[in-house]
Amino acid sequence: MPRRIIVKMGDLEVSDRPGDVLTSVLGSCVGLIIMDRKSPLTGMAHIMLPERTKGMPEGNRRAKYAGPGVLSLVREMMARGSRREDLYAKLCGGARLFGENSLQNIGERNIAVTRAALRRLNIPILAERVGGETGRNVLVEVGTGRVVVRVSGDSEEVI
Amino acid sequence: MSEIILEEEEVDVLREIANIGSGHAAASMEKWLERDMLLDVPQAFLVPVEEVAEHIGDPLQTVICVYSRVSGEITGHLLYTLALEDAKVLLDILLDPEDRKWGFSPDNLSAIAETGNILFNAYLTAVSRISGLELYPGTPACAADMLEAVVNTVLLEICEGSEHTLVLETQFRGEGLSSVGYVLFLAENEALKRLVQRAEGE
Repeated sequence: MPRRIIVKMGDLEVSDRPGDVLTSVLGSCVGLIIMDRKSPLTGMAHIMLPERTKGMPEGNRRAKYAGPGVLSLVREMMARGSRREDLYAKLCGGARLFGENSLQNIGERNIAVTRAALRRLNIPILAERVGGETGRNVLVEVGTGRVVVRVSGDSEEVI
Repeated sequence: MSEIILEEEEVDVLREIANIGSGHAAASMEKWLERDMLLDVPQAFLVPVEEVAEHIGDPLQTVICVYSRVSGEITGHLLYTLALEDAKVLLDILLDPEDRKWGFSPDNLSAIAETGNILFNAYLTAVSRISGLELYPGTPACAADMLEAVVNTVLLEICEGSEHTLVLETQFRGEGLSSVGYVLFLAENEALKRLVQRAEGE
């Protein structure tokens, strides 16, 4: 039976079972999806914040912060047999829902730090739907490489 | 630094503070809508940050949300969220029948934002009075989006130091109406503790 796996805020999930769907709802958070060219292995991290403020507790969520989140997901995929040179990424989220002058622009910083961490690991970003002012419901199909991105009001596209 | 945990007795005090804030907000809502309000006792739930949205409602449901930062002696966040059917009920009361046109138009959103502003001001005035803390609402901002996206975006502001968040939630209902929205108050645990200490006279 294909499973619908919810990737909770600050967490990451990996599956190699074709038919499984990894899913999250993203506002300012970033959904980092990593896929393997040579196998169905697919992972998603639900990144919350760009980096840890000095003095704050580390907590126990693997993907709370962008840098450690990227590393944890890549390590998890490599532990399951992926080679780093076969990996590629898709990015979603990092929106600014309430427009300017209200909340800090965490979304934009989340995207910047996530991109930088991927660049250091030489993992290319093949598609993205980031920024803007709308939340996104992301559904990642394991095995097909398709990522369905839905926004409020029912419009959807595949990246 | 380790996580600051709220004790059960502190949660009880905070629920009472939310109750007083909500009562005051309901009174101003009665004037604004020219209609009696029925007020439930506020819910206070202490849940892992990533589970807040599902405790409030269907995470994928589109809501209209008014947001205001609370500043002053403590920092916090107020949200006024309405399901689409709640928003229709509210707009039917607020807008003249000939002007009434459903949708996310600037006029509709600004009428809802103003309602949030009135609720927030009254809520904070009451919380300030019982705690002696100076608290001010910011300029309200409005979004129409998925509940989980909206709630999580605000949670990012307070979740860094804690794994759990206290949500103080009040449902507002007009006489003879179903819901006309929810008010949520969120703050870091440290700020909430300070609020409790001040409300209890330190």
